[in-house]
Order: sequence, then structure tokens, then C-alpha cells
Amino acid sequence: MPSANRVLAATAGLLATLALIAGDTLAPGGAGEIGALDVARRLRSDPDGIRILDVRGDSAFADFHLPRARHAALADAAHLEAWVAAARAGGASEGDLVVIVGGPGIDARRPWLALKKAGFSDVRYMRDAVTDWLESIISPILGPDADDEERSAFEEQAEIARYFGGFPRILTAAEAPGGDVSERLRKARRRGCAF
Amino acid sequence: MNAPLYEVGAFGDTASLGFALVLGIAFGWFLERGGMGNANKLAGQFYLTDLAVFKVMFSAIVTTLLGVFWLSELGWLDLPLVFVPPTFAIPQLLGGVVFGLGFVMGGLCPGTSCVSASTGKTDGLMVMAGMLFGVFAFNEMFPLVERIYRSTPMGSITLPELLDIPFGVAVFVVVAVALAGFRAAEWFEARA
Repeated sequence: MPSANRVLAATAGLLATLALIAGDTLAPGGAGEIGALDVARRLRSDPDGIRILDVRGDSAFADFHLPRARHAALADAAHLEAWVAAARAGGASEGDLVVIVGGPGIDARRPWLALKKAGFSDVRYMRDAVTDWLESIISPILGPDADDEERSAFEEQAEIARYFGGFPRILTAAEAPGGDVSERLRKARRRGCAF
Repeated sequence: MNAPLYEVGAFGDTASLGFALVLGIAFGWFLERGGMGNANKLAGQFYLTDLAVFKVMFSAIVTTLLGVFWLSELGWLDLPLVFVPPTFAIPQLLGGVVFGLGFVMGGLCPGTSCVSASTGKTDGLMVMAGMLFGVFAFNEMFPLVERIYRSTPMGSITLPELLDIPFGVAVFVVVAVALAGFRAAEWFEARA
């Protein structure tokens, strides 16, 4: 008969193996995440119907923030009620589309979940909002090997980018540095389709 | 109602302190019953003769990791609401070195020194006194070390975020490392 230690080790091994295939509870692109392109679309079409709450630190907010964003930074350990109060102080109400802007090391999912539990019906979050905004809106690029469908989608993205002061570019074959650009574009497109 | 219960308002500050007291007593009792109040046993891990501390700590990590992952996966725990302490790479590295030196010299760490002292062991009391003096001295000297203390902030980062891997993969890797570590620990202990 196997020892208790061996049974526990085997159980841990089994649960860990199942964890590999069970999915990812923290995966990006989940139901709550929104991309910069979708935020830009909403800002352009209905600026009064969206509230952007930037929960990054003071200096990060001062360095760069999304258009119409309000600063609502709290300590990481802030209680859920404090997040809800900060969101209301930032002008958000239950019926608005509320976008929580996070960044490296600032988890936007905590205030996002706080607002959802408080009854806000449409709350989204951006995990690395500034990078996403810079890549998708300020300097979006399209590789030279893009097909017609990608070029058509890029035209719309370029129009939105120009509206927000961005500089969209379509690279020539000589300008494309290789695989890295394609990978960045794929990531940007995935984010853009999250809404 | 999902966990974490305190975060979603299931109980208040006073009750949470009560739970902390009960859990703390239970934690101390299990540590003492596991022999973690004995400095000789704890010091054995540095000589690779008794790796009980390593096994206890990794067992706790694996149990918590699997528990958190599967409770979250089953929808009973809202993982984004679980507080993750922020990481400050250099100061925590320095703190780890100071902690390790204190551990190997005193034979006890902060938690186990409380366990040891509660059973009347003099070495436990001395380590506790040293720990409290260290806390006092650190606070008095804080302006001198504040710059280091606040350096290299990385925010509340977790392994999946740091390594850009799915949570499930991180769970598997940590558990695999732990199981391999248990095997290696038994091998070292058998040789001692």
C-alpha cells in the first residue's frame, strides 16, 4: 500500500497536470478586457458615454494618459468599496461604459472586479493601456505582406489614429525588419478584436 | 458569495482580526507539532541533514497554489481580488540575505522563533528579542535606508505575468519543481 506522502504527491502531480489543460483564469483577452482601438472608437463616436479611470501611479499618469482619462489611483490593497468610491468621484455611474486603465505592475482587474460587484453593468479593463494605445493609435503600422482584408481593417484604424493625432504607416518591403513586425501586428489585431 | 470573503464584505475588520488570531494559533500549533520550534532541526537544512523546513514550506506553497488555482477555476474564488504584495527586487533580495544570515545564526526564523518561545525555549526568546530590536532599529533608521527600500519597484507582479506564461503552466512548473525537490531532499537525508 502506498504511503500517505506518495498519495499526496501523486494527487498534487495530477492536479498540476490538469491545470496545464484546464485553461487560464488570468488569461488576457477575457470577457473584461478591451483594446485601445475599441476604446478609441468609443471615444470618437460617443465621448460622453465612456468613463476612463486611470489607476496607475501619479507620475505614470502625468507622463502619459489616454484622452479624457481621470486619475483614480489607490493603494494596491485598497478595499473594494474604496475603488467604487474613487470611480464615482471620477464621474462614473452604473450605466456607463467604464474602462479601467492599468499598466505594468498595476493590476486593473482588481478595481474592474470591484465595480462589477458593485453593480456597474459595463466595466472593462486595459492591462497595459499605454503600450496598447501607442502601438494601436499613435503609431500603428501595417506590414508589406498584409492581405486585402488586413489593409481594409487598417484603413479604418488609420482614420481613428489620425483623429487622435497618430501617425499610421504602411511599411514597404525595404522598411520591414522581419518577423518581429508581423508578431506585433498580430498582437495588436488580437487586442483590437477584444471588444 | 465568492471568496475572498473579507474583500466582498462578508465580515468586517474586527471579525477578520479574530480569524487571523485563530488561524495564527492553528499555524503555530502545526509548526510546533511538526518540530519547527527546534533550532537544531531547522539548522539541519543548512547542512542537508534534515530538510523538514524545505518540505514543510514547499508543501504549503503547493497546497496553496493548487487550492487557489482550482478554487478560481471552479468560480469560487475571485483571484483578482486576492491581494498580491508588491515586489521591490533589490531591497527584497537584500532582505532575503539578512533573513538567511539571521536564520542560520539563530537557527530560527521569525515564525518559528515565536513557536519556540511559546514552548519556553530560551533560544526562541532570544531570537524574538533580536527580531523585535531589528524592527525597532529599522524603523528608527528608515530615513537612511528609504532610498534602497523604495528602489526597483515592480508592482504586484506574479510569476505568470513575469514570465508571460499561462497560470496553469506556472502551476505545473512549480509543482514539478517541488516534487523533484522532495525527491532530492529525501536523497540528501538518506545520505546524511
